[in-house]
Amino acid sequence: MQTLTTKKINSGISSAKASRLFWLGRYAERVYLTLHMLRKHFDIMIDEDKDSYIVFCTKMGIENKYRSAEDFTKRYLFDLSNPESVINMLERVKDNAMMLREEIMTETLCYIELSIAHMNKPEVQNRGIEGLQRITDYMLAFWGSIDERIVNNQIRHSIKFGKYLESLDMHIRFDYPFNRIEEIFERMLHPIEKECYICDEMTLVTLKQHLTFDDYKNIGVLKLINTLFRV
Amino acid sequence: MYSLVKQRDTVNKWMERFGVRFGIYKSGNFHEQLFPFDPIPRVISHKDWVEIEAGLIQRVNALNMFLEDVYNEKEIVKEGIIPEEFIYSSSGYLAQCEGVTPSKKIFSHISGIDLVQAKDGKWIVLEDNLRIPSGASYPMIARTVTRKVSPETFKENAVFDNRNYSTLIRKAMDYINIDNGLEVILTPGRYNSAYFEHSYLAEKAGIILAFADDLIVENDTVYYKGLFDKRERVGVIYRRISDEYLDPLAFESTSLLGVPNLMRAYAKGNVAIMNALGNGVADDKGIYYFVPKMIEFYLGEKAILQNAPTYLPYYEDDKNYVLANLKTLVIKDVAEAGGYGVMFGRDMNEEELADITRLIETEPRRWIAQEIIDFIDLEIMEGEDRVFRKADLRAFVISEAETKVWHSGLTRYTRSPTSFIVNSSQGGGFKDTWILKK
Repeated sequence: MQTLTTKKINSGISSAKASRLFWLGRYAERVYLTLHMLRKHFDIMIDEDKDSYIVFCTKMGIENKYRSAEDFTKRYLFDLSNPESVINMLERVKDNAMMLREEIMTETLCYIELSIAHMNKPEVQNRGIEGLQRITDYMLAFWGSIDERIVNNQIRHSIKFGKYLESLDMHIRFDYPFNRIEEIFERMLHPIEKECYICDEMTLVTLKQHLTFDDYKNIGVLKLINTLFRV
Repeated sequence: MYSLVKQRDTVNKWMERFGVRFGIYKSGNFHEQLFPFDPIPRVISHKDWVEIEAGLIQRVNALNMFLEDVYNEKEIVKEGIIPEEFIYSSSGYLAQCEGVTPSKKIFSHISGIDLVQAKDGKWIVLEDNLRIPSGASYPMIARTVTRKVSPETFKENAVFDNRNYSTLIRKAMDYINIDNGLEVILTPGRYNSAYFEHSYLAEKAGIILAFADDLIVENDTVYYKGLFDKRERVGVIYRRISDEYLDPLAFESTSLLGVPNLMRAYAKGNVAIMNALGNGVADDKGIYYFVPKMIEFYLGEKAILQNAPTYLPYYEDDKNYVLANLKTLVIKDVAEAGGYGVMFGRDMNEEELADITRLIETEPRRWIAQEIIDFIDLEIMEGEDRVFRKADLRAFVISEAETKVWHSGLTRYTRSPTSFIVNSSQGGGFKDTWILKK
């Protein structure tokens, strides 16, 4: 039986593709963690602090342009014209994923398609954050599919680097304890060690020095994290 | 088949899940929409297919011979079969391709031939698409979905599998590859109407999807730009960008979609391009008229598949006939594609008829006229109703060591009960095409 060549396997990836892989990982993790953090703040808004969404905005580093908790729920989650909204984050995931279909496979991309279709349903929008558990499920399936289907290590590690870098950024913003930050940092080091080309080594060394119990909440740490990726 | 109709909502959910879309520009804005899919397949009998297949292979072989001839010896012009102005005035003719012979002398590796079935059962060729014919990915993914949703349908019907299209493409690329280089699909990008197809075929064929910035030409050789200046030699490019945008230094200088100096690398034989540049001269609507003559000239055979009765106003007799019978003919602008520039005389008012008369008289080479083929209507689902609509078939012919016809095709249908125009850009939908094994 005649077999096709497998020339593509182990071929290099272009700078633009490396960038798309990294941002795919970042945006996908941002969607997942944003929903996670939002659920905590929505819980607080029930009977502790009805304005907890303002705290959320501050931690995310976004302007509070919302008139009320209801306005925040509607526009932050579902408004496509709001560049910070969750639906917009998903669109950014899709932008990158569509450009990478041949690497991540249709079966992985479809979880993003399903997420966007779900968020656009009027009945889901009426349910607010509670209706978005399915997005969390889809994002978990997306990550499972990345692990299962992508055999090219370079491709998978580039996406995972984006994922853990975003996770580190978000957990620091939301004041997670230092031992949790250390765990995430360790996980981020794994793809970097495998694909050292995607990380600025000098910045990584500086970040390690500042990622201490006393210093990790310093704004400078977030700046270092956001300059780690290089292509 | 009934099961597919019953489960069409499930089928459509799968299509949505897989992102089966096409893009469309309306008033300068890009919109992406699901490509309407009708669950009732077009079924082509084995007997019909044997004839269609033989006719398509014959036609594409002749068209490939024509392309080699027209950019080299021009015997067909010297013999007076085709007037030379039909070659040189064609917008698809590229002087830059004179004397350039592509890898393995194949010009049209993927040919999309549009056919209709007349009410007497005869299959008629309406158009040849030899540049970048698109659409094969839709029946391919539709079959993937319908087999999932209704396996019993495919147990009961002996239908050729069509999911091998990507393998056919890959084999064609392997065949013409120069020096075992990388194989890439060059896409104009995410906002191209056929972007879904580019990315899906790249995935299924295991080919790199490249954007213009990913490629560079150095020393007349094409490279894929890896990280930190790493270069990998490219052996074949399946380009999904029109000739005029492919190389800003050779063609349209404002193009940001192309790769500078690609034409030089190609002309020197350092990279294969699929389909070859300059093919537009052979799928010009004016040249279509001459295809049966080409088949006789190059192959010494009578055409198996017929053209629609066509008139060229370039010839005085034809012009007189066309002008006298405008109301019963369909007039086509040879420079247009995608269902644009097609006018039915019966739908034109007196002013429009006067305008087209003037244009035919002043620019006869720009127009062809055809008898309106009353082609068969196919059954489609409209809500809960079964209705009949006009439909065509785009068959895909792959040329490598041999010429092969893909055992399927894109069946496009119009959603308007009065329209004959089936193009997706005009709101049409698509069906799977079944070729029966016996």
